[in-house]
Amino acid sequence: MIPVLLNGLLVAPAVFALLTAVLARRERLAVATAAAGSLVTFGWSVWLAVEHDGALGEAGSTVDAVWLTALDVHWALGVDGISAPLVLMTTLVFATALLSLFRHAPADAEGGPSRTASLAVLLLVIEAGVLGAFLALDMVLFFVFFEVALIPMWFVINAWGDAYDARARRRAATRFLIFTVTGSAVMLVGFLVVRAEAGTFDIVRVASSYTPSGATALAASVLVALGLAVKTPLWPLHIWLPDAHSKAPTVGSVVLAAVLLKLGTYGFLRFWMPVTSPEWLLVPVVAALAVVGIVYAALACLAQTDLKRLIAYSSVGHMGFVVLGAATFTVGGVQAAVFASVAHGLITGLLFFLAGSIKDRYGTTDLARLKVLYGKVPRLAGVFAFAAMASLGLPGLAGFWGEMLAIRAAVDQAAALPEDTYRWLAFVAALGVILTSAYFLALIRTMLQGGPVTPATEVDSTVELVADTVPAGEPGVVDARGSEWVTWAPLVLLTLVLGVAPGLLLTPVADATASFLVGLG
Amino acid sequence: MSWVVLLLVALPFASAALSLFVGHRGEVAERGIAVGASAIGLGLAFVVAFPHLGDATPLGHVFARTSAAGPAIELSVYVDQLTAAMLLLAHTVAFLVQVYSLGYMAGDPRYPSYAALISIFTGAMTLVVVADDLWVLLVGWELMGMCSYFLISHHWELREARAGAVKAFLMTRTADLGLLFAIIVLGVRFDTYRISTIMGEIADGGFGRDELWLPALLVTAAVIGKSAQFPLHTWLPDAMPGPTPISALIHAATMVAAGVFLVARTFPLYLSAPAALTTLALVASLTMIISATYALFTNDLKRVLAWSTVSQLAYMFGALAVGAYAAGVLHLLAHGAFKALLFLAAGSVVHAVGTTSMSAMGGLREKLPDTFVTMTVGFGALAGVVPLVGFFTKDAVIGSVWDAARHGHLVWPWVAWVLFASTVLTAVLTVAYSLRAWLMVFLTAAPPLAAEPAVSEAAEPHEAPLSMKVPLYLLTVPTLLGGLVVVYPQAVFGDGEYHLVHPGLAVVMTLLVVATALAVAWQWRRSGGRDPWHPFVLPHPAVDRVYAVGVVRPVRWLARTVRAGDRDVIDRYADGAGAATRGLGWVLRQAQTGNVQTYLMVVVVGACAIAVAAGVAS
Amino acid sequence: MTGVAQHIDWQLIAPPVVMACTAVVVLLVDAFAGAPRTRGQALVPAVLTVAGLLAAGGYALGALARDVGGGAVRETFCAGSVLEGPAPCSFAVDRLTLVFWGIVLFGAVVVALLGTAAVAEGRTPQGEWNFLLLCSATGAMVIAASRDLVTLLVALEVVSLPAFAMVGLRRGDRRAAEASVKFFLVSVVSTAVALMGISFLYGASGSVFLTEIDLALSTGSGPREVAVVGALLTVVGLAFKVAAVPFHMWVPDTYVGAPVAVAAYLSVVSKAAGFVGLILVLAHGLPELADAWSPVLAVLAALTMTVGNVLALWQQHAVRLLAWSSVAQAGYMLVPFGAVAAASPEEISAVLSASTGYLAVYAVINLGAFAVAAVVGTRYPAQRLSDYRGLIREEPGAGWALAFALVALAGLPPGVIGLLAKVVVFSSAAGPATWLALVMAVNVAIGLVYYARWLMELFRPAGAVGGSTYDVPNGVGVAIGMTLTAGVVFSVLPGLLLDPVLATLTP
Repeated sequence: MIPVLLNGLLVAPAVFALLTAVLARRERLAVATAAAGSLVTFGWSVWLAVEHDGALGEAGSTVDAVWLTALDVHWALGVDGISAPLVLMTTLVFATALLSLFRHAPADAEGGPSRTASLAVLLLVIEAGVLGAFLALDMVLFFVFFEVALIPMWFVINAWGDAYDARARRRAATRFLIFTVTGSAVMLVGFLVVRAEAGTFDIVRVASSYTPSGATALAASVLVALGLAVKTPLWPLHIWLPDAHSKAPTVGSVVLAAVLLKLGTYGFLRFWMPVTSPEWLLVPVVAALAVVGIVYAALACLAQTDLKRLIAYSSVGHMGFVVLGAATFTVGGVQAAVFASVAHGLITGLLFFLAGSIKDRYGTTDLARLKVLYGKVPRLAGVFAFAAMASLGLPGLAGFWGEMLAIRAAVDQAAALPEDTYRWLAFVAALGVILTSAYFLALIRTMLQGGPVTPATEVDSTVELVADTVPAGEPGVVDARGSEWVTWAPLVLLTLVLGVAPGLLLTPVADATASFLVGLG
Repeated sequence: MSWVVLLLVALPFASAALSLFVGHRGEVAERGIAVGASAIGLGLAFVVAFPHLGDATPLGHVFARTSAAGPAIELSVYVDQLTAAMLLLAHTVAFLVQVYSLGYMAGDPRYPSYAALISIFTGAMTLVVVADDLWVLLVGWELMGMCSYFLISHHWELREARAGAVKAFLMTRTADLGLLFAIIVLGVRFDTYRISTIMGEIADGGFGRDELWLPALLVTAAVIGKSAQFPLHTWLPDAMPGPTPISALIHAATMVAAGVFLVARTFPLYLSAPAALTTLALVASLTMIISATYALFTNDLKRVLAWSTVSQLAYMFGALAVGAYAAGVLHLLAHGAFKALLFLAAGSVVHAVGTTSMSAMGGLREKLPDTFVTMTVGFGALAGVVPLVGFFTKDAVIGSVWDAARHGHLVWPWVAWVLFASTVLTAVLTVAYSLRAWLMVFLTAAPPLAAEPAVSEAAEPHEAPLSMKVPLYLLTVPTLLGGLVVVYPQAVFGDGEYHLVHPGLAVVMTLLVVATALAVAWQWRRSGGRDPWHPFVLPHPAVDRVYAVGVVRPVRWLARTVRAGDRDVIDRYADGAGAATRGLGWVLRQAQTGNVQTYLMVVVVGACAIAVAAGVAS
Repeated sequence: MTGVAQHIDWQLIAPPVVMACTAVVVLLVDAFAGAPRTRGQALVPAVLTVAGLLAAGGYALGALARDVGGGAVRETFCAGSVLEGPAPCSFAVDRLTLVFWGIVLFGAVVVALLGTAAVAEGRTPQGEWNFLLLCSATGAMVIAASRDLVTLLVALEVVSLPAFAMVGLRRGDRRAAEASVKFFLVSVVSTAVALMGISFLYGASGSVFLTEIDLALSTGSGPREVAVVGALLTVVGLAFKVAAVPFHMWVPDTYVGAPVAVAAYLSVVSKAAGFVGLILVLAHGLPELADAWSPVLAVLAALTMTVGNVLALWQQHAVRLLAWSSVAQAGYMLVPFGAVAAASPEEISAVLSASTGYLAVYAVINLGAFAVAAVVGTRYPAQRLSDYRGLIREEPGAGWALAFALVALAGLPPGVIGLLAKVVVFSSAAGPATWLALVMAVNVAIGLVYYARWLMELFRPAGAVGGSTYDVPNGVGVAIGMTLTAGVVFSVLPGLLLDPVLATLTP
């Protein structure tokens, strides 16, 4: 049963992509097909998640067919507690994205005839690729699926991106492509060296039987980490991200932030940790870079003047927590990483959707021109405030657990790792939490509540009621539409559910990790 | 029973969701949901609390556990005497506030979100007091911070509201990190997050003096932030732009009270770590004087009350710091009662006058008879007038500090003496500022009208509606009779030896009160029935300047630097790589002359180079 | 066994022989038929050519029947003079040979089909053109089967000489003439160098047979230094064929000057001839010297791919861009040669099969790109990249074929086969020469830039929207279809192509 589901999960989006392409002439119908396809895929992934038994390895729980004899590359797919949450998150995000696409199509940046159908096709192709990467158990197969998403995404940014600034759009798209390809090529070299060491591309066998040691193994691990660090992204390789995320169309930004980054973080968990030995200095270095990224991104956000750029930078910080969790080499760390990945997918996806809605209404994401949205579009602003709170890690919402548990894992790291260093890293990461709160509050204050940002400390000691003029909702600008609620609701609900019941996610991840990475503290 | 507790936690959140989604559907939904839910909540609180007051075995139950790596995170509840008392306090105040808001917030378009947030606030506080898992406690703890943030910025068009809200959130959240790390450390140390278990193990002993100083101090940090103690005492007064009922909730029963509660809940930890107790004692003795002084000089009614809260909280910490558990908790409860009363009364004053500036008030005794009566009781309790509740609890606190100073063993005697001195001094100051405020609000000659922009709809001050009066009178009841509990604390804490009443000290304190009162009254007469010492204006707390210079500015500078660095440095390496590649291409292109001689030359040179390489290789 | 009487295995040598005969037939038919009056007649030579090539292919498959696929080696033209030991042979057919025959035949067919594009313009004499094509291809076939240096060099010249003529064949085209002159001169020089190298090898080992040379070197008889120098100088001559830096400079000018079909031929068949030559000489003849030549080739590979890519970045002319990209791709194919310094002779053969695999994939894809370029050339002879704008809309067939070829050349899905080809090469270098693999990784990214730029042009709306005035001759259409189909099929089932090819050299 499971194998059928696994292959089907990749076939479904591909098939619907073909259908959509065939129907492309009749746009509405085509996009509707795509949306339906995304829903089918989502349902399918739920089915798979229900069916699978949480651990890899046993017969019947995975697909394993020889794909390329000469290289001993296998068509090996499988799902466990580590990948299942990401798969579900992916299919959900794509479903919301395509639904929103169905509701109102973005303008074609080239000013040509609307090509929403093509956009839908590309999104489905990306979905297939991403799902493949999450399911792949063969390093080369992972690499192949890793690459599948690139060209389509490049098109999405290039052809549907920011219509106001074609040059920046192209630059962002190409930079995204080049960075990612360089990274993945380096990662591939790393995989091949691992293969030379461990004798197989099968990551499950590598994880169970391969004990990395020696210079070559270290080099391999470094290369893999380097490649993934570009995708995740890890400071200072994040520079492609703000442009790409801010210039992409709304759905593009959503997919990029919510899903594509997770390829990097998932890679760290599934393909980096097994080939890495915690004794190496590499591990603390990675953790340190992650923490630097957390603080750095938060500071950068404090100074941003563009909404989408700000959200983009915030992703860098959140990914920092994920990598920090992975770099602790503890089950708790992996739990934190997976949880934070999923939470970031939901929350940042929501934030980008909201940013898109704002841009639709006011034609800009320039914070200097967005003011007092509480007064203008209260519902929209309310949801935005919710998303902001979730993103700054408010307890009771999804954003909290992943990052706090990452800090916990850093304090309680694997025995082989330098204890004091990690304590300090945990502390700095916690400061990052505060800075994160700071910039989100500043955002709420300037964009939603309006008025200039005066430092909280410069309020004089007697309260005089100085009321800024609150513009009423101007004509033509409507508050949250029903269609938009359809897009937001699932993300909001899941953010709440995961925040209230983290066990839903933490427990399966813990079990899967224990069985996948044997001998993890 | 445990399910009732869970229901008690869930109910407020449910009502919040309801009033958010259907709150706009009309008057009944708008008002009914919030008040009804809080009424049910109050009922449930009684059901849960009464069986656990006095001699009762605590109730503990685990609903769900997360098989995390290391210690499990559990959804578990624990109800003991402390929890029961706090539940009663929180839900009573919450209910009264909801009722009060019916009148106070009448016609406010943002009422639904307001009511929802109050419900969440109540729920969060309930979660904190019933939680038996440190993480769950942290959830409620920080949720309260969020609620206070949104409620303070309820009038977000006011610049001060925005600023105060951000300040409150950031200061408290920064301090919350202490709790986070305390949780992590305790988890590593005890391999569980269950509070009752951890405290039990500590209470059983086997831990050296100050062996657990780190978690204790971390908790202290969090408490200092939450309860606005020095040096984080500045956010609470700046939180005043929020609606007054919120202030009542925050100051009396939830947010800041949670700090005291946490110390009480982790009391064994503190007893095992005198270092933390000493810190707490010194912080408290410093805070209570500073804040009382500010209360004495500020011209803003709500700020007077805010500062007085800070100093009263310091009282409670002082008591706990010398190991006087009962005294501290009882003062917390008493303070909850009369501070809620004071704030609600202040609310109806503001409601009538339209401003919080005391120089704009005066002569309200005739205009607001009910408010006058009730608020007088409140101020009396605050000042510690016999036989109001404040008198008993404050006396219990000072007495226990006195005992500790003479033959205490937890903290060094000199610390206890310092504490004792500042408690006495603060008692005097408290009398002074209470009396001053009372005089300025009610007895001073009314100022010329329309001196201040009237926000309220009426030009002429008038008594508040019934929905606002009833809570006031209800709150006078505990304020008047609460003293009985101090006389018979077993009702709350169960059997045990509680040395709370100190007759001799009581007499001395009463004399002090009278003396101070006379002095203030005389000075008031001398100043011609206006602000007794009105030229004096205290500068804003210097700590804020420190934060501005030491934290805010550097961070902003860093942020700008990082942004610039990202654009000008890290961006450059990307561009640079591209440019270098193209440059290399350009250079090589020069060789591509299209001239065949060049090509041949290159071929020959290349061949020779290879031949040389061969020579080297072999 | 003193088999003095030379027994010739005709079936074995049938493919090249058939092609040679077809060449003569084509020439005669053309000569006697006189000037073609209808387009149909003009196509006759091409048809004959393709028929001949297919026949040759049939005979080649016949070799499979003789268990060559299973690893057996069939030989002929053996030197009867040797009395003891197995007689060394000049002509052998093993799996490697078959693979290259496949590549050469496929390439030749596609090129012949492309050639029909020139029929319309009427400036290229079809008869001569197809004759030359067949001759050159015959040479390529022979190289793959040659097992001694003399045969190899002669065959190499048989590949080159007709190619010079093909480049300059178009009447009244001065650029074409100039291009062929450059091509010729550079070729002559490098051949001379190669000859010198061969003579060195002969001097060092006393034989021209690869097996003998290997024997001599492994037994240590003969001065090693001389052998090394000889080996590397021989490499030079072949490096010219594969257009490795610094022997690449003729490539862009020649490709641009020549008709697109010829450029396609040079970039695939002629390159393949060079590579099979390299593999034979180095893997069969000189595995003992791997520690000497492998590092040199590693440097060559790095230089070649880098130079090719960074110069391609600057190109606005489609064919010139393809020329530079083919240089870069040659660099990738050289990577395995640079990764065998420490390998044992058997391993060397195995590793070099990676380069064979890449070549096979590259042949399919690159021919597709050139085929589309030929189509666009019929409308925009200038071949500016901007001329490809809107191709997807106006000529979807060609457009999508080119798009696929470009992503495959860049090595990205959906061109999975291109991606896997790169994986194969990476896997040969990762470990023994990781630095080279990393250089290649960077180069892959650089290459992506210009492929992507071109790709974007295809999808942007055309400047002048109008009915398609592209002229797609049937032959070219077929060629595009062949390459695209092959590419897509192999992308879905890469094993079909790569498994047999990668098995070639593994003993």
